[in-house]
Amino acid sequence: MTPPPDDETTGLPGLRTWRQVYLAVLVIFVLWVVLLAALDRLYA
Amino acid sequence: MNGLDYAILIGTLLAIAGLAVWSTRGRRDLSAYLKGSGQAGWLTIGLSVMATQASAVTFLSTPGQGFESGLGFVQNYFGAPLALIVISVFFLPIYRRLKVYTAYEYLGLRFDPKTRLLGAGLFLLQRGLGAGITIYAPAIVLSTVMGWRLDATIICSGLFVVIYTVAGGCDAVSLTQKYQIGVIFAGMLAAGAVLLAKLPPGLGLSGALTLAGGFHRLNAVDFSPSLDRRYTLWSGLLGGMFLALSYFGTDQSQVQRYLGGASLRESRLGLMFNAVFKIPMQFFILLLGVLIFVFYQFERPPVFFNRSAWAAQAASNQGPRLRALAADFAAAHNEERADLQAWIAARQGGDPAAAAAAHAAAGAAFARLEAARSQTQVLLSPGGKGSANDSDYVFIDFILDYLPHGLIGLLVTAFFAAALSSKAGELNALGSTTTVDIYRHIAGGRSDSHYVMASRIFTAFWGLVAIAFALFARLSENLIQAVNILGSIFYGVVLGIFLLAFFVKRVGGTAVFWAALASQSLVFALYFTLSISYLWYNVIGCAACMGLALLLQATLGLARQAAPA
Repeated sequence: MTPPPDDETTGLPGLRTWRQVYLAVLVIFVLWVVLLAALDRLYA
Repeated sequence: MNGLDYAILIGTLLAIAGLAVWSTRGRRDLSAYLKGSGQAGWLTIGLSVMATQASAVTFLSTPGQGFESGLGFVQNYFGAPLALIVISVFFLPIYRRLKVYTAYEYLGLRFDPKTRLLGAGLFLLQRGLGAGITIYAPAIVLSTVMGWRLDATIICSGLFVVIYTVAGGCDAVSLTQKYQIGVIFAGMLAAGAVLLAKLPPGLGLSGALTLAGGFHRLNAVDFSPSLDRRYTLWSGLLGGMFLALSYFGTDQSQVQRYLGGASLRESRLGLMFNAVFKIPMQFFILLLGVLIFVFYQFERPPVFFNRSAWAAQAASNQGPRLRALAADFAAAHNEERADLQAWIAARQGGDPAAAAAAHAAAGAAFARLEAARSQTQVLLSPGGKGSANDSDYVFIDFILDYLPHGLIGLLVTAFFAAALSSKAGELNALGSTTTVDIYRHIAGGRSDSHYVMASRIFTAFWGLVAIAFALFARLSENLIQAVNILGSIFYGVVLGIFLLAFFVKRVGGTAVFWAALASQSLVFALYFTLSISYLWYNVIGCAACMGLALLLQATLGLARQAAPA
């Protein structure tokens, strides 16, 4: 079995496919929005 | 600024220029000059993309936004992570596969030469004007710090940037940006640490945030569906995504940064680095402005942060009125400070009723203080109409008044490092696009060294255009907003052209060309007649361009052109 080309691997531990990388980025983004909204509620 | 500050500033500026000249000496190969040697790793690409976007305007003006309006501006960047994912999945592989020098070269391959020229022309117009604003921003810093004339400052700093940029190719730009962003982050972190240390005893970060929240400076996410409000979750997500998609995906100053990646993987990771860190970076810069706001509730700020403008007007027949407003402002500030100190004491003493009363009294004093400030802004506005904007002076004023020497030099150097890095990227892209998409199209078949020389000449030309624009620009908007407004007027249509190219195979160049021209005219007309948030123009321009092109293709039966990719 031939290894995937260099461009197809992400080289990131725990995030082997690009789909997983994009999902992780989206999750981080949603977390930021939630945290920012919470900051306002917390200190209003 | 003292000798130490000047030594840090001048030493760093000369080192940057020296590095650029040294690393690009003897370069005659067009590919290496415009795209780099193709060895850049993800961190270099990521920092280079970040440094190109984060100009001096970002670090000078954004804290002023935080001071004036709070955290809401961060919503402008909510679309960026989504856009960067789309670019990574769809745009980037095509650019790399076709081995293009510029994004507009792809439009020529996909459509026809006139659509390529239109795309390149819109970029040159928009970015050429935008480059003027980014020369204007550090010029404000210099003229304030050194007491120079603004026009002389624009010319001197602009020429320095032009010389540095003409000397440096793509690799030099990326390399210097990597170090410049380090200087910038060090400066901003140091300013944040000093600011926290200077907050009143007993307040702390939590108390500072509570105080900021009480004055509506922490409203980061606005769920309102209103189209009139400049920053909401929806305008940020949708309008911001279109703005970011167009900026990162089709603006040559950004495309050039990640085309130089060693592989598709390195380029993708560089973009994902920005998708993760863009929002936190903007948040922390805005938070710095919010903390400056808190700091100035206890230390009296000037009634108008552009002190030279105030002094000039105070010497005129408006002097007595301005001085009376300054006295009102000072009295209200003294009252507010006393109320806030009572509020801190009540909080520490566990007396919520006294804390609430003190907070309410501080709020009333703050309203009087703001009224005096607003009236001053109206008096200082050109012709007494509208309101003079001094928020760009907030951060530099704080730095000069409250930071120790050495750190002042570091921060001013950080502004210039940011200005040089983004300006280098912009002028490099303007020169490349003019050479590859216009000059090489007209005068083909010449040697690489000829085109490298042409690129240097065009880079210098655009630098001079930017200086001229900066000389005549007198902006009523906060600088960071002015840059985004200008981009939003053009970016929607450019994005529409690229989305048609990538995703709608049955549309040909002629339909796209005329649709783009009509849509750009529509956006201009709407901008001067409507009062909606500027972020929506990204959506409108893009949708109009795509819809009109499809309509033209369907109704007029324009010849279909096959897509190569």
